[in-house]
Amino acid sequence: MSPSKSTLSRRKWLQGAALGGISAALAPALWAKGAAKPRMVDLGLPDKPSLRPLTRAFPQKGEMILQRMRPPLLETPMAVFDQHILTPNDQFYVRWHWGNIPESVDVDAFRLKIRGHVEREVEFTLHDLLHGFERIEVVAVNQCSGNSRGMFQPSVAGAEWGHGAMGNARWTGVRLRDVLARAGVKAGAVDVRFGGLDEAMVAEAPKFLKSLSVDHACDGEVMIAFAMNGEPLPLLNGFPLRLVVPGWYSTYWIKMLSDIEVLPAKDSNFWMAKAYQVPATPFGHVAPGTADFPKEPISRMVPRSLLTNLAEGQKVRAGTPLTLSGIAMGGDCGVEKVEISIDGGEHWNLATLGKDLGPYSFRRFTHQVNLPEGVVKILCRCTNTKGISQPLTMNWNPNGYMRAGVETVTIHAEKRA
Amino acid sequence: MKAQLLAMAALVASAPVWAAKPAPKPLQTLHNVSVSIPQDFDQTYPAAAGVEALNDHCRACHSPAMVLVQPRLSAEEWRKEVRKMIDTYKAPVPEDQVEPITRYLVQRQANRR
Repeated sequence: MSPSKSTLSRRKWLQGAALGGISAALAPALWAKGAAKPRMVDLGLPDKPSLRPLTRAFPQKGEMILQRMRPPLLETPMAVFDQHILTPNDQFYVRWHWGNIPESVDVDAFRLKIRGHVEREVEFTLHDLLHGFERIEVVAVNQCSGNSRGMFQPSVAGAEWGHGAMGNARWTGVRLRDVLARAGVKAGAVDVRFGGLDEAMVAEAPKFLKSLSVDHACDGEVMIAFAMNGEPLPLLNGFPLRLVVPGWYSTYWIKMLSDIEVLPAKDSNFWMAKAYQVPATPFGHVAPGTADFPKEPISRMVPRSLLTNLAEGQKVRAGTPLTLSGIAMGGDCGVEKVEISIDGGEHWNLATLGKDLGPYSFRRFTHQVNLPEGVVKILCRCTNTKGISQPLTMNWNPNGYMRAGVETVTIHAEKRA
Repeated sequence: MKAQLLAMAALVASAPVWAAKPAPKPLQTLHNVSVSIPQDFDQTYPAAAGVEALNDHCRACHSPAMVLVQPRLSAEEWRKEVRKMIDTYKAPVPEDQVEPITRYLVQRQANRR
């Protein structure tokens, strides 16, 4: 009998609990003296400290991997993706740039302002947004530009995420296009810039602001969301409003959205012009070590697939039916197919795809295998509906963005496992 | 009567999945939210030569923990990170602290493995 999926994944991902000798500095004093040591997770990050504590200390959040307490960086454990196609709100990853985050929101006082290159400046209350516009809904993956950065080889500096800086949710809200129409975008508008309630630590520092082109902002898909999986957003995921940009990396999904400025010129603010730049190449790839290349702001996501019920180094029983399970995403379109190889990439077989929740959602894939005894390299490869496949050679760039090459999981198939 | 109760109990125990999960009602209103986000200002950098520079100047904006899990960087790369904090993110770090901070970070990684 093959071991159950959830047991397999939990065993590996939580086995770090048994590992001692963790530097006290890595386990911030969330835990009073005398309290039990936090359980640790091994994210399998090469060439750098790989263990992280698990924490339940954050408001409206369940058990999360603590990447950084301040400003919060919380990663979703892999087992969550094995159990859910829609990531539960309380285990949805969290990422903030500045630590100056409001801890409370007064829903009657809150206003969303539309200003700049418009016919008339307008302000909307939350009631206006909940009741004054047509509602739309979309299931969409929100993925950090730097998801899986910790896996980069050669390593790069930054938030050393495992694969859990992403999540998939059913977002409910209103079209950005409809909201902009009330203000009346003037002819000659170029970009639309978004800001939230969070502020930089010092006034001279660049507030976190991101922009989309006017055409993109008005495509009818970009949404101002007030609900996530049918519930208000957790504060750390952007309560009360969050921009949803289906198919694009999360850096554009401004949290606690409170300010929209229409610009008559291309946005030159730091976060658009200097930060979040990727090589202007397919998958943002350059040969490792390359520093000089044409750059562009990160934008559309690319296809990915990850096994969720088997972890690196895991032992399984050989010669017995085993179901491989994982999640795939097309990036900026749907999933066409997922292929599996159990011989290091020599031969590939089609996996079975689960329910289709729309082009921007995760899609479950499963595949039955019967592994020969020995060391087995399992690969999964997603091809999206635009015909783009994950590259077999891992993509790389110096800022650690857009990791999306085919991932390999090495497992040990034994007679007795 | 007893049989009836037992039958009812059985019904409750075997309540179908759909009964436990009613379709969520569309969100009609939002309520005030007030939370407490955990902080770790009490956390310091591991003791070593120059640690005061980091404890004094590198804890206002971010936790020490993230710095301590970075891959091995050269002195030049660490200096660039420190300069980014000052020049781009406007961290009020005195100029004469750049080298002590850089030295600590390099030395700590040299001792790591």
